[in-house]
Amino acid sequence: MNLLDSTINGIPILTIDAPRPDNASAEDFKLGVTNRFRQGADPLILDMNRVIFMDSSGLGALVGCLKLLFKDPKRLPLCNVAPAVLSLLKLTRMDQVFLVYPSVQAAVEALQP
Amino acid sequence: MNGRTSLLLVDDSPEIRLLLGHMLRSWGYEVLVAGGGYEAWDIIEREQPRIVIADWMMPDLDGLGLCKKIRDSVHPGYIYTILLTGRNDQESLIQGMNAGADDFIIKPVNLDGYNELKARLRAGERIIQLWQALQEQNRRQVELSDRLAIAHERLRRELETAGRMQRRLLPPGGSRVHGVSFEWLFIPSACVSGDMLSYFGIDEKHAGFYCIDVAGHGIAASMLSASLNQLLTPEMDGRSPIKRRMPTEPYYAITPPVEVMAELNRKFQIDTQNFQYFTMVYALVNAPSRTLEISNAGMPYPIYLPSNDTAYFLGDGGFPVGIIEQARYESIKFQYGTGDRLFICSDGISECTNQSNEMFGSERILNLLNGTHAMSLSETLRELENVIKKWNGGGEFEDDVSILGIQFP
Repeated sequence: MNLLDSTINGIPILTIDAPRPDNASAEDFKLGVTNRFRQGADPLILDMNRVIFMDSSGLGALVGCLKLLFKDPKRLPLCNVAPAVLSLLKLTRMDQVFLVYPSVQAAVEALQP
Repeated sequence: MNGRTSLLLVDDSPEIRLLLGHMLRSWGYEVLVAGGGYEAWDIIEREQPRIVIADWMMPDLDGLGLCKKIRDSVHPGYIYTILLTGRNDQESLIQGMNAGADDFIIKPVNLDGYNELKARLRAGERIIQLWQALQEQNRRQVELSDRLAIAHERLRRELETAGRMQRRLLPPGGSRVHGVSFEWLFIPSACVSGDMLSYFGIDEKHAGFYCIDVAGHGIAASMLSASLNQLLTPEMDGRSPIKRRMPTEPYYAITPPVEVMAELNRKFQIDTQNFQYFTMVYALVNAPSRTLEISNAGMPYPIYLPSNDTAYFLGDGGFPVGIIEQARYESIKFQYGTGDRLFICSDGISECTNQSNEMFGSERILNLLNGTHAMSLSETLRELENVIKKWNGGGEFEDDVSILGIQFP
C-alpha cells in the first residue's frame, strides 16, 4: 500500500493511497505510521480521501496506532472520511473516539495554537 | 571441479597426439587420447571427459561429425569441444559452430598457438564451471520446490483438520432451546475461520446465543474464536462470564449481556504483541417473560423481522471487544412476538463484493429478508446462502460468512 507524505505549516499529513485497504495493507499501514511516529511525526493528520471502504482489519490498524502510539485522538486526526468508512466508525462507535474533520485544512486549523 | 579436468584429444596423427598430449598434461589436464572419431566416441561414452579437442580432418568419423554426435546425445555434464582445423575461413567457422563446436584452434599449433590454446581451454573451463553451478542451482531449486510442495500439502491438510475441528464446535443446526428455534449458515473463507456462533440453554428459563467475528481471518483469528467458544459456555466451571457461582440459592447468577461484553473487553485488550480484537453480539432470552436482551459490540446491525411487519435494524452498534479499555456497552430489551425472527450476519456478507466490486450491503440483506415471511427459517437461510453465493460469483469467499437465524415461539 502506498502512503503519501506532505506537510502544511510543518504538520505532517499522511494520505492513504488505497481505495480498499485489506488485511495486508493494514500491516503496511501500521508499519508506515509506526516509522513516521518514531521519526517524530506526532501529531499526524490522516487524509483518507482516497479510501472508499475499510474493513475490520483496517479499523484495527487505525485503532492500534491511536492506542499504542499517539494515545490522544487529537494527535491522530482523520479527515476526508468516505461515507462507507464513516458508517463503519459509527457502527463501532469509533466516531466517538477519533476526531474526524471535513478537510485537511480543518484538521490543520484545529491543531494550530 | 574436484581434481584435474579430464580432456580427450582426438587426432589421427600420432605425433600430434604425443606432442599436444604431453603439453596438455603439463598444464594439469588428465589427458585421454583417441586416433579417430569412433574410438573417441567410445571413450566419451565411457569416461565422460569435460573437454574434447578434435581434429577436423580424420579418416573415419571427422571432428565435425564427432561434435554433432556429442550435441545430439545427452550427457551428465557439458562437454566443451574445440576443433583443430587448418581452415580459418568464415564459412568453415559457421559450419563448425553449427555442428556444435564451442571453439577453434588453427593448425599447425606452434609456440604462440600453445598459449592461445591454453587461454581458450581456460575460457572453456569457466563455461563448464558456470554450467555446473547452474546445474547445481537447478537441482537445489527442484529440491526446494519439492520440499515446499510437501510442506504446503501438510499445512493444507492440517488446516483442513483444524477446519473440521472448528466446525465441530458449532452447535447442531435446526434445534430448539426453550421453544426458540435456531438455524445457522457458516462458510469459512479458507478452511479455518474467525467467525464463531453458538446458542445454549442457561437454566430452565433462559437461553443465550452469540455471534463473534474476530478481525482478520485464518489461523490466528480461528484460534481466538475457538478459545472464545470454550470460554462462553453456560457450564459453571467458574470461568464462564455467562453464568456465575453464587453463595446462596439458586447458587448461580446469569450475567446480563452488557456485563458479559465488559468482562470480555477487560480480558482481551489488544497490546503491541497481540493486535487482535473481535466484534460480537450476545443476547439473553427469558422464555417465560418472552423477553430478549441483546447487546452488540460492533457486529453489523442485527435484523429483526416481526412476523407481521417489515424488517428493521436493531440498535445502533457498539464498541468492538478489546480495543477501548473504558468502553461502555449497551443493550436493548424488549418483548418478542410469536414467529418474530432475528438474523445476525457477519460482515463477510454485507462486505461481499460482486464482479464489479459492488458490496452486497446490509440494506440488500434487509430487503431480501422482507420477502421471506412465508418461508421457514431454514428455507430463509438457504435463500440467503444462494443469493450471497451468486453475488460472490461462485468462488471462495474473501471473508468468513456466518449467519445465525432465530425464531421466537
